[in-house]
Amino acid sequence: MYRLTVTAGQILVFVVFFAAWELLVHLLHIKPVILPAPSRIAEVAWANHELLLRNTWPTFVAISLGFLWAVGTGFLIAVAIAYSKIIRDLTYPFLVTAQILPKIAFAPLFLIWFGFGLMPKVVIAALIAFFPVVINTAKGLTSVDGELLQYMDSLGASAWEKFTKISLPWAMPYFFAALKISITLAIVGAVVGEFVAAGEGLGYVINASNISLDTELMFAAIVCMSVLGILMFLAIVFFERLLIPGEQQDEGVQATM
Amino acid sequence: MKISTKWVQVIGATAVGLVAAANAAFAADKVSLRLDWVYGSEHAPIFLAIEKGFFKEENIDLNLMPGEGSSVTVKLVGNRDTDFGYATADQVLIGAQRGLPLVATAVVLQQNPTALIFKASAGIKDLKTDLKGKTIGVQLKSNTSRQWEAIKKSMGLDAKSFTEVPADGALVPLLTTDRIQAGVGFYFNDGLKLKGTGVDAAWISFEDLGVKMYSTSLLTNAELIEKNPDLVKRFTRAFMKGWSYSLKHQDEALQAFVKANPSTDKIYAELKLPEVLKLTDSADVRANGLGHSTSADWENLQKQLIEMEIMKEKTDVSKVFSNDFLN
Repeated sequence: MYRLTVTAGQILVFVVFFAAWELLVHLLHIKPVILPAPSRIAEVAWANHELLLRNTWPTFVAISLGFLWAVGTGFLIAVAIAYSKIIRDLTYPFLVTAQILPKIAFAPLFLIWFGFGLMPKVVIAALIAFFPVVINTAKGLTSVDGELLQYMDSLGASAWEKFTKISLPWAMPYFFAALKISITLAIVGAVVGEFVAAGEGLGYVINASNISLDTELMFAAIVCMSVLGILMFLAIVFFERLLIPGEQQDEGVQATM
Repeated sequence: MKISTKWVQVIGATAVGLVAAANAAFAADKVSLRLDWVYGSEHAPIFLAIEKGFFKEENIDLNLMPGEGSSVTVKLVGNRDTDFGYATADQVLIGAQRGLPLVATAVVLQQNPTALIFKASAGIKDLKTDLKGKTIGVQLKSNTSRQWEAIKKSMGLDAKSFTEVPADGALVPLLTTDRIQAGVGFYFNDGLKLKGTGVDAAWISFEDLGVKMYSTSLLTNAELIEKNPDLVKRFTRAFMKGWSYSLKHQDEALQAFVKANPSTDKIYAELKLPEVLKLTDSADVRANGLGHSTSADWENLQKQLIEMEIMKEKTDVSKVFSNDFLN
């Protein structure tokens, strides 16, 4: 019952937000070129749905590739950090520094470094999505209960068995918390990449609509991007539910970022 | 006690009223001007007008602000966040068509600064034959890319014989590193920046290829014109005085700019100013004075923007510009 009421309330927050927006635009006679009403954005989005869908695909590809790259390399490095004190001690300060670095500021240079088209988008997406995976997963792997590992030792378990049976499941909630952060960062990265270095994609639509002062189309593209982001986020939540037993899906495990 | 409080209030109110009246009588009009882009020597005549006190002479206290592209400037002026703007004519026209009450009171740059820019060693003379196998950087965020489309169409260029790549804001580094062999941009920006790096830069102007377009203009809001036409007149006069003075005294204009922006790249600034000043010229300007524009040329701009699919519907150009505020 409580759950249902909360869901209704959550929907209500959205409804109130968009209704207030719609109302303000009409009451204050704000021109669509300055701020279009939600109803107008929906209209334009529908009228341009072909253009928007066509440009959603390249953005989706860039986000996915960047994300997978970040997760793959991030996971491996996290394992290395967790199992080697020397690697941990040597790389940790560097990783933290690199994480803090505002990588988006380099976006215009990526065009020169990585060329045109898909590559710069994927690189920016991967680069900013990478660090939360490393740092969170490493934290998960290193926070394993020591007594459990000792118990495994007493059973004569191999290092591989300890990793797959204890450490990896233990780190999973941390890993998925990181994935949820990483996917949103990958979206930001891909779109920034499209701002500077693309002739297609939703980021490009946002930019191009600026030439013709088509604020409605710009908002429609932003809506598309949000929907894409939400779907990708939900896909991760879906895998999380699939892979982690219910009692471990602890929302209390917060990402370190 | 009560009475005295009341007296204090009365005296206080009178004093406030007097001060306000005095301010209205003596203080200059506070006016804001938003530029098209960050400060560059293409704005030197505006810095000169400030330094020479042309705005002060007109009893104007100017608040000058750099811009983030013409499309943002026209929105700010249309929304009355700034009183005046300095932005390209195409954005003024599109903004007006989108319902913003914009009026250009002076078309400062009469010619289209867009060009195909390359290293002279690339040997591009005839677009029809010399682009074969080359990579061309196009800036998709600006209307220069649409102008390029129009030129490809009008000249019947074979788009399959060359490669186009997105190169927003990176023409010069991409040209110097030979990642692209030519790029579409403003020659007084990218072309001269390339020259500034010591490269023998060359370009083919789009104006010469038939894409005649008004460029950067002074604009304001129609409501301000209705409310205070005298202020618009005084402001436009001071603004244009800066340009006419700069045409005769380029050195002073450059100095005024450098003085106000000491960290600027002086070599590039010096290369750019004369090229920008050249663009203020046209047959119409020679006959009718600096900043003048004609209905026929605004119509022509509109026709081209519609052909390039940047503008979707026509608007009444007679409402978008006015020569009434020029001397």
